[in-house]
Amino acid sequence: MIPRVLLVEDNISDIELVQTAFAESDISIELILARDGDVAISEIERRAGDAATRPILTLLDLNLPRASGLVVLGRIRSIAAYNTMPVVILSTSNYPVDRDRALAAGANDYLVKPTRFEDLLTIVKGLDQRWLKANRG
Amino acid sequence: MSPAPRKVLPGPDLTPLTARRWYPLLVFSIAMALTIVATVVLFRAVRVGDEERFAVAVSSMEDRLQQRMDTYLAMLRGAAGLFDGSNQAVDRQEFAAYVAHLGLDKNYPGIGGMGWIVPVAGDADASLSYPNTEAALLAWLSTQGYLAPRLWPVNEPEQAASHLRTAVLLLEPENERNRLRIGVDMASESVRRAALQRAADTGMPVATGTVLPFFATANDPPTRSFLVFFPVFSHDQARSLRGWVYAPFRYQELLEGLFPSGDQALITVAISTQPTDTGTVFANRPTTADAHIFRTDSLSPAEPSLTLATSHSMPMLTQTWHIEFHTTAEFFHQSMRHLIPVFAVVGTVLSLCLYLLARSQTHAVVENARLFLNSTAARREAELNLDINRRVASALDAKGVASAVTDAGCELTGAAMGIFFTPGKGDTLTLYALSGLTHSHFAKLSTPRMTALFAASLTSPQIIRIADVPTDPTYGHSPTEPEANGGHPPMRSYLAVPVVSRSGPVLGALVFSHLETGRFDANHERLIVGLATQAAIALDNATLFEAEAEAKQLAAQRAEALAKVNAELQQFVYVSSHDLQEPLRTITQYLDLLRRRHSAQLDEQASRYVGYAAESATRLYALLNDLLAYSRLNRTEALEQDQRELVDLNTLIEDVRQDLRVRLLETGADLTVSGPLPTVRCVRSQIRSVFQNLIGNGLKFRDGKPARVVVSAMPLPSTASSASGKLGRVWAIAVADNGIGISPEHHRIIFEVFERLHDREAFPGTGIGLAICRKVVEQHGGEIWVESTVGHGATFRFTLREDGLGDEDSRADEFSLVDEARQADANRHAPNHVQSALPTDAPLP
Repeated sequence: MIPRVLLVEDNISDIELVQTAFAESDISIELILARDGDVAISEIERRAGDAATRPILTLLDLNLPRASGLVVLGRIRSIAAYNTMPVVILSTSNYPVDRDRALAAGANDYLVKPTRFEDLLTIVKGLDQRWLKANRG
Repeated sequence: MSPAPRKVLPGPDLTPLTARRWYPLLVFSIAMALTIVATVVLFRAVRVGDEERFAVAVSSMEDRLQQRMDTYLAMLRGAAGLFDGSNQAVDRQEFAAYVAHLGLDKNYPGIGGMGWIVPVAGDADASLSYPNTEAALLAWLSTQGYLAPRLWPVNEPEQAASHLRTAVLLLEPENERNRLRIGVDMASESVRRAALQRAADTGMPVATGTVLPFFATANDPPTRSFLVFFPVFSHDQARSLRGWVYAPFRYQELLEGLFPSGDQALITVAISTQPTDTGTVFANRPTTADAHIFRTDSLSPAEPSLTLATSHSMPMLTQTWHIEFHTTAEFFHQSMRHLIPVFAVVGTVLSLCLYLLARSQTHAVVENARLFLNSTAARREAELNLDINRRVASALDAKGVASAVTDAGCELTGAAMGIFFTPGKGDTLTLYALSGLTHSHFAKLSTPRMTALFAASLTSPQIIRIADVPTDPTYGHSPTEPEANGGHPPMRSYLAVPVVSRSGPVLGALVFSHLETGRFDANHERLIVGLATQAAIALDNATLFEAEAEAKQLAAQRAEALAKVNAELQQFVYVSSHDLQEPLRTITQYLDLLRRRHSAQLDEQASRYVGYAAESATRLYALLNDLLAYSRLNRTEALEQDQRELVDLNTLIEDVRQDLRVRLLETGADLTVSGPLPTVRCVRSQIRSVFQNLIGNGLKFRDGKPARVVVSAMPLPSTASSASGKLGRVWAIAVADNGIGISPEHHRIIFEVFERLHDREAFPGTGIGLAICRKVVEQHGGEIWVESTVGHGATFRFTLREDGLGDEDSRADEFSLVDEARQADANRHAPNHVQSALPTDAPLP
């Protein structure tokens, strides 16, 4: 079974980079896209009742139009169905305060978007290793 | 409108008490009057007592005299009885026995003897049983043992017929003197004869006046005496005279034993018979000058004024004795009289004592009252002063101070008007504050000018007090308006005291006046001088306060403006660097992706161009990243949220080692920690970045040889403030490398933003790392510096407090701490200094 990953990201270039990284790493996933916070929240809510459509991992940007990443994170953690779903923050900011806030709000990891594609590949492999492998059928 | 009357600070009113001043005199007068009255009473009592004593003594003396005479006369009467009881003649032997039995010498002093006298008749009478003629008598005398008796003196013939003739038959006790008198005719002498005759005629005993002895011998000096004759008659019908018993009384001996004399005599006695025996005296009778038959002598006659005297008449048979009694001085010695002056003196002294006592009491009462009133007045004055102090002190602006002081001066002196003048432009004066008047009072007056009167206070400056100012020569003389005295408001009493700043200049003058003359005294002057001193201080303070407030306000405004600009700038830098980062990252990623996935489509030149672009973008990204980090440090939220926590620097260094793991491996560098590092309160991520930067620099700036970086820590010597517990311990942390070193002229500039000492090709970097370090350390209340010489590595040091306090208050101390740290550092090369504290400080090879 192909793991479902929710990517909350407004920047189309970043979306494409993440998709490319997964593809290049030969990690097959079903990517759900949300381009702003409100969309992300509605997707989360819509899929909460059905285990068949629920994502098993959320990659969340913090700097989003409309609802911010932290708001989205808060909403996810308020829904019982997502109790065990890992949320990994993928942010441009390497500001420790942002990191601490996100972890405190219930994020499972905080990753700074790299400047080199190679580093992104490493990240994607790490995500697969850590969160997705167990769910792959 | 006249100035309102003001309450005057009253002096003590002692008038009710001054009336008491004559109390002591009253007391003295009463006491003296009592003393005088008591003295008079005492004097009278003493006098009465003395008179009584005198009377008693006199009576006693009289009694004694009377008693003695009675006794003597009784004795004579007894002898008369002897003759009366016998018809026969009493012979010499019988009589001698009788007289001897009486013991005259012993029992009856003053009686020379006792005798028997018989009349001598011319013719013999046979009926008589005893002789009565001359011959018979002579014969009888012979029988009695008298040899050759005779009767003598013989009367002259012409007298014999008319005169009685007598003869002494017996006279005992027998002695030469008495023997001589046997046969003597007593009647031959007129005084004795008269007495004999009278006794014979009356049948009663008779006493003579004073007589001298019938005759005197060498052994028997003439003493004055008197004689007593007792007649004895026959028992027959005829009752014829048989004879006389007689006795001579010698006054002196008779009386002297009765009365004390000499020193002991209280009373002198003088007895005379003078008034009655005039003309009956014997031829050789005493002179009138010595008329007294007896007188006791006194060695201490009393003063005539004191002498008590009395004179009594006392019948002595047919005679009358006049007895005079006089007190002697001795009498008064026993009197209470001498107590009188003592009493008077004691009374006077007591009165004086009472006077002094009353006076001191009155004085004390008045003094107490005066002190009480004075203390009350002083307390009121003190309270008023305190109140004034409070008011003056609470006035923070100069105008308020001047106003408070002027009002207070009016209250203190009771002045009707108070002005605080300050020098104005030219010779004008500024009415800085007014009390008791309003500015409208001055509206009709010309501008107040520097008259001679005011100038004395403002320019000299001196204290001026004038009882009636319009009479003063300085009044109203203005240099510009010589004739104008309209410059002065109406006033009589005048008191002006300059107010001189502690820094020298005359700030102004306090002028008080009153419409009555002579209202101000030295005390008022003293109060106003004190007030002026206070005013000067308060005005100085107010000036300083105003200046300080102004400066503070200005500083606050500037700080606010600066903070606003800073905040805007920081926000701009933060936002711009953050927002620039995202697209830049996209550029770098896609350039990377382009090179990676489409290198086949690119020719060599295109590949090189893409490589340049990627490098620049990467450098720009690093620059933005550092800039963002630096600008975040400026954001106050970090400290506001107080992200400080206790951080063990030992574990922090291990984290940094992890961060730098790749670079350490790549360069083969050696990072060691020398000795344990402290645990300090700090913002973990910030201090972490400091170590990252400093260690990273150590790895970066080297010239070929493998890098060695040593981290160590040393506590700074405690200062007084840290020892008292106000501040925690301060640590100096050192990061030493063996790199290329830094020239001393660059030791400060390297901590500035974007300062780079080396070209980018040799040592890539943004030039922000050390600026971040400095900012972090300073925000933690510490300081950072470098010690280095070119080619011998560099040691970066920064200070951190254990308690992490980096607030403004402790900043002041920080410099001294840092200086000490530097000093300690400089001393480290001294031989006696402990080197083990920082063993890795020396530049490493």
